[in-house]
Amino acid sequence: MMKYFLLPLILFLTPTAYGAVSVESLIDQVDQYRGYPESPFEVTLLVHSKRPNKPVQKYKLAVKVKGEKSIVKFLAPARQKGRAILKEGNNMWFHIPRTRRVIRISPTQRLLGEASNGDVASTNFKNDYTAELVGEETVEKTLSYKLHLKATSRKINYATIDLWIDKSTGKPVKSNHYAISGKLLKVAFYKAFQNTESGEKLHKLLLVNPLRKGQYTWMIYNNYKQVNLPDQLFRKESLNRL
Amino acid sequence: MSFAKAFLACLLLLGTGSVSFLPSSFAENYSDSIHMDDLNPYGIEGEIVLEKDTDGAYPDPMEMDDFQPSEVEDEAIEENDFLESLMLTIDTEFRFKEKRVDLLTNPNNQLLDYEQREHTGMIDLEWNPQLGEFLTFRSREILQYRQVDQDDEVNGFLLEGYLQWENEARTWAVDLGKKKIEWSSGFAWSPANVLIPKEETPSNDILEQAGIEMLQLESVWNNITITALAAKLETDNVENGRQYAARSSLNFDPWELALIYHQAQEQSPVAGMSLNGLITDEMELHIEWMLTQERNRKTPGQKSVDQGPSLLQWYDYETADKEQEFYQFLLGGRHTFKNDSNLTLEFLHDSHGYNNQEWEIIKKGIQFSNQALKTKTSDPLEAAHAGFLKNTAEAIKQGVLRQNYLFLRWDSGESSNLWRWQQVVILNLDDSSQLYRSVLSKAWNDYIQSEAAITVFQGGELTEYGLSPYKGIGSISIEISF
Repeated sequence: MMKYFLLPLILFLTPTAYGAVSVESLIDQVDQYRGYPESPFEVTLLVHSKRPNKPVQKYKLAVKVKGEKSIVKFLAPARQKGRAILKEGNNMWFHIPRTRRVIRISPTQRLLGEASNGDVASTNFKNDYTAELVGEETVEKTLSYKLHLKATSRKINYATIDLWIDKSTGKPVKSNHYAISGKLLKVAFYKAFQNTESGEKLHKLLLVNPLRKGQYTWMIYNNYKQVNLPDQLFRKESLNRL
Repeated sequence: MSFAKAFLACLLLLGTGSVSFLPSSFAENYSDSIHMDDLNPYGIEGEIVLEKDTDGAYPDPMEMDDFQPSEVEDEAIEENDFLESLMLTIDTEFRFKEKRVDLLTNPNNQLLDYEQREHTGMIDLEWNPQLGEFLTFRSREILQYRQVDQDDEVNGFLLEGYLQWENEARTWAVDLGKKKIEWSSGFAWSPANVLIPKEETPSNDILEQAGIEMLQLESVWNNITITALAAKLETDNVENGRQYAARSSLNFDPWELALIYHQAQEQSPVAGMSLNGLITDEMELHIEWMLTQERNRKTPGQKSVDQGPSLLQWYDYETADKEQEFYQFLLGGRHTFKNDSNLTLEFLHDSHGYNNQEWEIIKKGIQFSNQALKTKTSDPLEAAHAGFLKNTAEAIKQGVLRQNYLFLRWDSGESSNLWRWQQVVILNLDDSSQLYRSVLSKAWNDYIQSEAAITVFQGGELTEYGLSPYKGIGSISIEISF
């Protein structure tokens, strides 16, 4: 008799068998490490992209983020200085200095080695994905929660993401990024965090092409600053005024 | 408009996603790779190659010997504000041109003298210093050395120089000074760039990037942007005149619709619309349509009236053109492939261009004047023959001579070795003449890039590109950025 009573209880408890962990709070925590979900901010970004037997391609970018909107300005290399990308929802615009031209670009177009425009311009999982806790695994020698994220819209860069979060600290450890076809596009390793005035933030992100050996990109975030950024800054017309 | 339909069909074909330059399988076998089934739960193409030891296999750039600590110091950006507002390039270009012999607009090669070699050296400085919290000065200056065959000259130009004020919320902006306006999304043609002077066709002339003295006001509310400007007007007929333009755009994700109006002194108003947006993540579409009641060109025969008696003055184009509406219609799209190459297609219909009836008359005029000048009889109309041929040659140089054009551009994107290849074809659909352009560029490091380009003009001797004074133009250039 007891087993008929216990079985439904076990089945009921199974989905929360990883303790009283709230998926939302885990995603909130990860987004906090990747920026300031609740307020606009600036960050500088060094991108070092490596391909086998090729010189490292280096970029220095100034990134301004407000919610789902962001502006990425190229500070280096000198031959690309002054270029800027605006991401406004699914709209992405590219500004070429001197010509004053602002052209629409594809969100999937790569401008920085392994990093797509979306990788540089997006810092928020919560708005773009719904998450499900699927288990615990040890990755990168770290006991982690494994979350499966599904894009809330077909317009999001990656259709699904498997995300591993450090069970003890809540920091992201690794994520696999898949296309809608199920093809694995990228593997990201969250390698280092730095202390800022408002807590720890992502400092070093490693993006690896899983299908090409030796093809990877380091993204080094620095100088996080919460700033007041008006909505109208994130307009196509503003790209000529940066 | 059957060309437009065919063009749309091409775009839709590209949009099916069935086109891919990726090889069907690009997995590479590495003996020391690890196979991680958990990375591939959906059955992906190719073999996963991911190093087990991410610390050793992917060296951290901050731990490399050549890493500059200043790149990540907090003060780095602020200290460099002055330098960040400067963009300086030095550019040198050599152009070699192969002249066409027996060009019909240049009988006996005596009427017009076309250069064969050109060398330009240029210092191009863009400087945008912040003068206050909301006030910026934006400028672009050129110092150019130009040698054409045996002659040389040095000139300095202020391409742009204007003050820009914005309010704190960035809902209002006021620009005062010499400024270039870009309202078009077109690549080869830009009907929505309504200000005069208009650039009819892309060119290498740096001065075509010069702005116009103006006062511009721009206001942004939610998803609506309104721009209004008053600018200086200089034409053959108007000195120190005025032109006014307004643009109102509405953004509705992922589209932008704009209405445009332009009024220049002593000219009919121009009104139109532009629409651009994304059909898919990979495909962009742009449409521009501009309407006016005044033709933007005269016939070569008519132009020569100003310079003396005209052979074609009996043909009354002015009367024929009255009460008519003239429009430019541009339909274009760009598809970005998975390997980052992209293909751009554009179709232009310009009813300002010469129609078949006019072109037949112009052709007869070219042949008649050419024969008259070649035979060197003491024709009392010799000046008119010469004037007509010169004006025809000038009109051809300005581009968009006829009414229907197709533009195709393939861009390889930048390779991992920093090479890039662009192939352009412009087809005059009315006379089937063609322009081909190949550009190969290479970035040698962060500062230096070079470019080699070849342009070839092909077509019958009485077609637009067949009447180009050159068979082909080759160029080599080096650009150093600081």
